[in-house]
Amino acid sequence: MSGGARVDRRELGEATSHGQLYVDRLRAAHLTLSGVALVAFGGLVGALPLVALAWPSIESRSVAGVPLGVLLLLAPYPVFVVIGAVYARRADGLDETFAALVDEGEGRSGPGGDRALDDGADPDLTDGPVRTRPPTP
Amino acid sequence: VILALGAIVAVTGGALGIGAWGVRWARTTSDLFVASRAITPWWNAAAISGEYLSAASFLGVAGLTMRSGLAALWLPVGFTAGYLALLLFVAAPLRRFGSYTIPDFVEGRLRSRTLRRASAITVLAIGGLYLVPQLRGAGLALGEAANVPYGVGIALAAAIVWVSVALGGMRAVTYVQAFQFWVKLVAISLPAFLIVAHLGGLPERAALLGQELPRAPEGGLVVQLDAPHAVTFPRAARYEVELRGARFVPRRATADERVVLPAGAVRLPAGEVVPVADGIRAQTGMEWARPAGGEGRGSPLFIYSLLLATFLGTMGLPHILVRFYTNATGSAARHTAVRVLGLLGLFYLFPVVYGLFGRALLPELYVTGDTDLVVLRLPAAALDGIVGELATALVSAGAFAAFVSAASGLLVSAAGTVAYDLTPAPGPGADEDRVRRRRFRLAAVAAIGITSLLAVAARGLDITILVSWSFAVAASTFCPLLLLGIWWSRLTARGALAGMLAGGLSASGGIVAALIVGSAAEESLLTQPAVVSVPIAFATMILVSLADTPPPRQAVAAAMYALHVPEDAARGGR
Repeated sequence: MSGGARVDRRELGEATSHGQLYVDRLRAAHLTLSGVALVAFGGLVGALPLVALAWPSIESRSVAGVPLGVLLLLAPYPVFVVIGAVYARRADGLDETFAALVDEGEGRSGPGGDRALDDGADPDLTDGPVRTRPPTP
Repeated sequence: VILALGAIVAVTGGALGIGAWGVRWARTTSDLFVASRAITPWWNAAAISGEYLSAASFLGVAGLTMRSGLAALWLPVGFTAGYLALLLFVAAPLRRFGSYTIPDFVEGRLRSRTLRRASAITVLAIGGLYLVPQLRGAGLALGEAANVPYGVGIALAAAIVWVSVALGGMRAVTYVQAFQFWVKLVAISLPAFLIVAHLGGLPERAALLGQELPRAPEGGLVVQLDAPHAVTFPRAARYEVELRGARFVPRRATADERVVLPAGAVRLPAGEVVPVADGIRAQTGMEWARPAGGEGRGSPLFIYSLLLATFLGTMGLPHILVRFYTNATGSAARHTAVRVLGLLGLFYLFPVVYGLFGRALLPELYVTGDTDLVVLRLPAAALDGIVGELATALVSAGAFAAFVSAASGLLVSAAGTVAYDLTPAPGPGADEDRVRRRRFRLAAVAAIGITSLLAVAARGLDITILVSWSFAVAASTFCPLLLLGIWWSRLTARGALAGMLAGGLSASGGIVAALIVGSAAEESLLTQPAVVSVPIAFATMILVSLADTPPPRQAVAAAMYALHVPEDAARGGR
């Protein structure tokens, strides 16, 4: 892989125009993915009230003794889980692709000074003094 | 009665016990707000669901289904869908940003103290609106279980919540909330299974789905009224009222006649169509079983407005976002949200059972108007003997767990907001931690006191109208703030403030108007204003931001970096 297609981790944090471009692209990719998931949700669940409205005599039908209206209104829940699970997998994929693009740079430390990074994901951190509020100026 | 009370005590004691045990790991002030972050997505998801499933879900959904029909079931669909919005747009970025209250996020992202204060006040408004119906639910549950007056039940419930919050560990410990979730799931599902098994499916299907209006069962119906009570007879009917000396006097009502029944017993002969309290529409089985269509709750505009409010409002509930901070990474926050979707979906399979059977077996609730009691009353009405008593004990405990977990989460958020966002930093030399803690406890007393008084006043209100209000306000203020703040570089503090004001005022305006008009507006669009107020909020926020001077490029880039760059890339290697 050529160096030109990659970005130095320090550049990312220092908001150079090069680094910023990568962050902007990541954000756009995530927004697109979320948008697609939202459209899927809107199409499947958002259309349900109209389906119920257009379905003649839905109130008098039942399946195995359960009124059809009840089944219709319980149907969205599995759909939520499926959309959510597919989305979460894709979003992780985007993040991994992005992480793979980032060069190690010289030092091990991330771009300092950012709260989100200092505070971050240490799996060993159990219950030590977690910082609650950001330092108030 | 003893069993029910025992179950409530056992569940509350269990939760407090786990809380006290957890306090050993949660000593610093910070842990009062956020537990450790090494908790797995499953635990976290159970905790979030536990905190989210409030009295409105446990009692209100079934009550509303019985009251207005299957169209009420759009409400839990929206309650769940809210987590999809949270998952798609908010969970991971906010976790990465390191903020877990909205005032924190606002200050970190837009660097405005004014906006921070405005958000803090909005947190209090939303929290208060959400807390009142919780207390009302607890008052009802205790009243049923222990036979105490409504006001006493509320006072007791308020005291329990305050103690559990002041103990400190209660909320901080994820395990308590996770425990509460499983209590609630068992408490609503097991009696539902027993009832369905006992009745052998849906034998009263004709009464449920036929042309019928709810009627008095074989042997007649006797309803006890504590006070004179107005009802409307949908059909002409004969009935008897009790006068002094336990003498029953026959009366007649014509169709659509509104009658004020005296306090005491009222008897309806078998097969007579039951009268309905003010605010309830008498519906035939057909009307009742229609998921959409017709007037009120079934009108498509109402449904979409409700779905919009709950879909977008969940992310703005103050006690929910905090929970996502206990995830280790942004990715873990996403996976937690997916699990929450599953757990909530599982829970919401069951309230409908109570609504369906309540319509057939508890017609007296239409007379008194207390449809919110259907979950608490149905087990005893459907099951005999000791099984019925055990099932009643279980639902009482579940209702109480629902109330305690949601209320304590809300109280922590509200009191924390007062102690940290709305009061000035203590002077030099003072022990900041101690001062803040004292303020936190005082604020908790004040908040629970005020909301308890409001709950006493709100005796006659439907649990869900206040909950709808808080969702509508959250969807019209915090939702645009979070979405635009996370995804749009151009947002300015002035635009955010203007949008929140416009959205909050238009949402509240509709509902205040509905409350003034009274029960006539109960199912009108006024009570569900999101479809209007959310676009107003977004438009105002965007237009005012565009007219404002652009925010400094460097600061926005740093914020976007913190929000969107995954931990792996930011830290380098894994």
